[in-house]
Amino acid sequence: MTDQYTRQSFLGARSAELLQNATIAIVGLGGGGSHVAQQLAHVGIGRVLLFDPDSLELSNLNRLIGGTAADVGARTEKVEIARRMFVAINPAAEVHTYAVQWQLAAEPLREADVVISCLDSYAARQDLEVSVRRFLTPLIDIGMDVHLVNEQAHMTGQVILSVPGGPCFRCLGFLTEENLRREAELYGAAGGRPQVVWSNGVLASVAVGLVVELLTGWQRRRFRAEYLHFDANEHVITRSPRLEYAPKHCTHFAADFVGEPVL
Amino acid sequence: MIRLRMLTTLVETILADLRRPHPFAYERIGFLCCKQSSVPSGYLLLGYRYVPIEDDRYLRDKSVGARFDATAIRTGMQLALTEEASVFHVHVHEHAGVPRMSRVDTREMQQLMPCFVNVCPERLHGALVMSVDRAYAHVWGTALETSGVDVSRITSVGDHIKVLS
Repeated sequence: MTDQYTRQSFLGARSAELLQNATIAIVGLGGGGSHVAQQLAHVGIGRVLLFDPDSLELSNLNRLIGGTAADVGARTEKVEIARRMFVAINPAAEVHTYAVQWQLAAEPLREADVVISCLDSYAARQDLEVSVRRFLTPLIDIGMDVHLVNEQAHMTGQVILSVPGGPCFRCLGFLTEENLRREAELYGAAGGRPQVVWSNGVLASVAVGLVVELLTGWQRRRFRAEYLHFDANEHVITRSPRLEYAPKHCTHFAADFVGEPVL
Repeated sequence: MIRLRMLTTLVETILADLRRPHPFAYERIGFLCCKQSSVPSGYLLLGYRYVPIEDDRYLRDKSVGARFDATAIRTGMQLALTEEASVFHVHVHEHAGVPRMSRVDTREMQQLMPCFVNVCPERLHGALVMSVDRAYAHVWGTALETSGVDVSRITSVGDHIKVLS
C-alpha cells in the first residue's frame, strides 16, 4: 500500500488494490456528482466514467465542486471540470468523460462496478435503474429537495442503494406512480431545483462510504439495500423504516433478466 | 478485456451444487449460462442461470476428475443454441485462492469448446474454475485467437462486490 492510502489501511489489506481496480460511473456531475467525484479521487478509485451533457452556468457556482468563475465564462463542460479535479488529485486514474445523456453512451456505462445516480428527477432515476439492473450493477442514488412548510424551508434528502437481486427503488417505496405523476406537475416548492453545497456534501459522503463498503466489504455487513433519510435542517440521518418492510427479493426485476433487452 | 459478472446468490448456488459428493465421480460439473454484451474494452458476460449435470450423466473414468456423456454435452449445446447464451463448463478445485486450469482441464476444454462455438459462433464460451473463494475463467470464440483468452475480471454482486479473479 502506498503512503497515499496508509490512513485508510483499516479498510483491509487488499483495499487499495480493490479500489484501484474498480470502475465507478457517476451520472450527473452537478452539486452532488461533483462532490462524489472529488471523494472517489481521494479514496483511490482507479477508473471513473463521468456522464453529464451540461456546461457550467453561474447558478451552479453555489455548489459545484471544482467549478470556477472562469469556467462559467468558458462554459466548461461539467464532466471536464470533474475530470480536471479527479486527475489533479489522482494523476494515475483513468477518467472517461461523456458530455451526453447517459443513454447515448450506454455501452461504457455497462463496465461500471457501481453506478452513482446524481439525477434530479424520479423519471430519470427510474430509467437509470431499469438499465443498470440488467447489467447486474449496484446503483446508489442521492438527491435532495426543499419544501415549504408553513413558509419555512425544509431541506430533505436521501441516499438509496439498489443492489441487483435485492429490493429496488419501487420495492422501497421511493419510486411510485404517484410521485412520478406529481413530479410531472411540480418539482419542489421553493423554486426551481433548489440545491445547497453542504447538504449535497453530506449525501455524497454517505454515497462514497457505501461505494467503499461495497468494494472492500470492510464492515462485513450483509446488507441487500440501503435507504437513508437526511433531515438537512436538523443535520440528522436516519434509516428508512421502508427497508424493514421491503420484500427480500425484488418483485419488479427478475434475477435472470440480464443483458441487452431483446424484442 | 473480458469481464464476467454474476449475482452472489448464483455463485452460492453453483458452489453448493458442485461441492456435493457424487456416487463415483471425483468432482461435479455444471453449465453456467451468460448473456454477452459489448463494452468499449471488449465483452461483458452476465451469468444468469446454472444448470447442473445430472448424476446419471457421469461416466466412470479414473483418468479424469469427472467425465460426462453425450447427453450432457447436448444439454450445454442446446443452452447455447436456444438461449443464445455464452456457456461455461464449471467445476471446483477444492482449495482457497485463485485456481488455475490443470493440463487435463485444458485438454478436455479444447475438445468440448468447439461443440458450443459451432452451434452458437456469435458468442464466447468457456471454462470457469471455482475455488472455495475465488475463480478463474478462460473463453474461446470465433472473435478470439484459437487458444482463447483469460477473463480479466470476475465479480459477484450481492451484499458486496467480490472480485473472484
